[in-house]
Amino acid sequence: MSKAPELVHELRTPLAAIRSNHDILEKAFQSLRAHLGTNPGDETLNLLAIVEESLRISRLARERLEAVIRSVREERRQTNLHDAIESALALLGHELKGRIRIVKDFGDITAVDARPDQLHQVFMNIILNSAQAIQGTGEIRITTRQDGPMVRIMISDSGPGISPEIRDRIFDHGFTTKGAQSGMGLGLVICHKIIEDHAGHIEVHSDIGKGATFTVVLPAAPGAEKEG
Amino acid sequence: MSKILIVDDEEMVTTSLRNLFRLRTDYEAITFTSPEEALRSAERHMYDLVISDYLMPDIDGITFLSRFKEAQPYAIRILLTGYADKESAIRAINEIGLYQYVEKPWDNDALLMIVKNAIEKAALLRTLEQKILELRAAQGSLKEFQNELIRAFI
Repeated sequence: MSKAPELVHELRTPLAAIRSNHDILEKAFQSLRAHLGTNPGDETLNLLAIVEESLRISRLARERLEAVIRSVREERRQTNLHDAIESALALLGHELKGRIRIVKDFGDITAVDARPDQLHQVFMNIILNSAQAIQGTGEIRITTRQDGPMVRIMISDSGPGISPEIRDRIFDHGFTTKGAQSGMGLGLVICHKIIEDHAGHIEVHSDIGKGATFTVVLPAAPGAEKEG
Repeated sequence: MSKILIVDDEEMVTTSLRNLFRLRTDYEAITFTSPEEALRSAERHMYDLVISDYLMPDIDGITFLSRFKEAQPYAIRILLTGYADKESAIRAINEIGLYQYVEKPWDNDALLMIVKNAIEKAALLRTLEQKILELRAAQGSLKEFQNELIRAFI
């Protein structure tokens, strides 16, 4: 059964909250600016800058959520997973640059029947999570392998690893270890739902001190050729 | 001051709506993440309007609103719906006398307009009911006066 309506449903709630708060913040920002005298003090200017930055972040969050919701309606087609991984890496370039070394070990795999934008979102979220888990410099290894009728994509990081208690809750809605300022605990929930919607699954393996590996398993598209 | 009760199991929704009503209206918005707690509050306090989410873990929004209606039949009922439950919301309009359903993500201005109109409509209905009662009382005393007049002349 398709998980798409459920996914859209779950995303609409945070989107609603973000949109509503964005609107309130924008109006507050405008009236704050209108009420300022000709010579506002430093503290007021700092406050204005904070509100403006919050507006920018909420706009980004809103756009990303809207992109995922839009992608649910995208048609499925034969998708090259290496392309989806490369496009995620290209977008994350700024986040990874100079800090994270990316090692690609791409095998001969077949295409999958998928919505490319959604897979792009999945790889973005997993790689970003891995990068955020690494303190200072480190390495992310991306391995792809054919496993009979399935394709496996393994994303391993050299971070501190995930404790079993956290590992069990990692795909729970609203669960985050990044603190209220950083995450809403949605990224991996979205990944999980998207992969389930593609008749696949995500596994996570980790030993404390030895990093973590997220494995995405997807069924190969019927009759697809290996893409190498 | 008009009082609004809001229930949604997602705290981010109740917080957003509470902030919206606090900053842009003079309504008092009381929020709950548990429908049962909201119903307990309805036994003790009067509300002008109630907004409920549809998909909640223990009770769905339609059941909640129909139980709320038993406690406070005059409170206006609004349902917040997601993507998958729109059909159920439309059915509920007739089943439980829903004033309106609002889809997530809502537009703040549109939601405020719906709530404002609903509260004004409720106030008008209450005034109308009051006037009808006054009219009935006036009619009653007029009848009595008429009877007295008849008795005086016959």
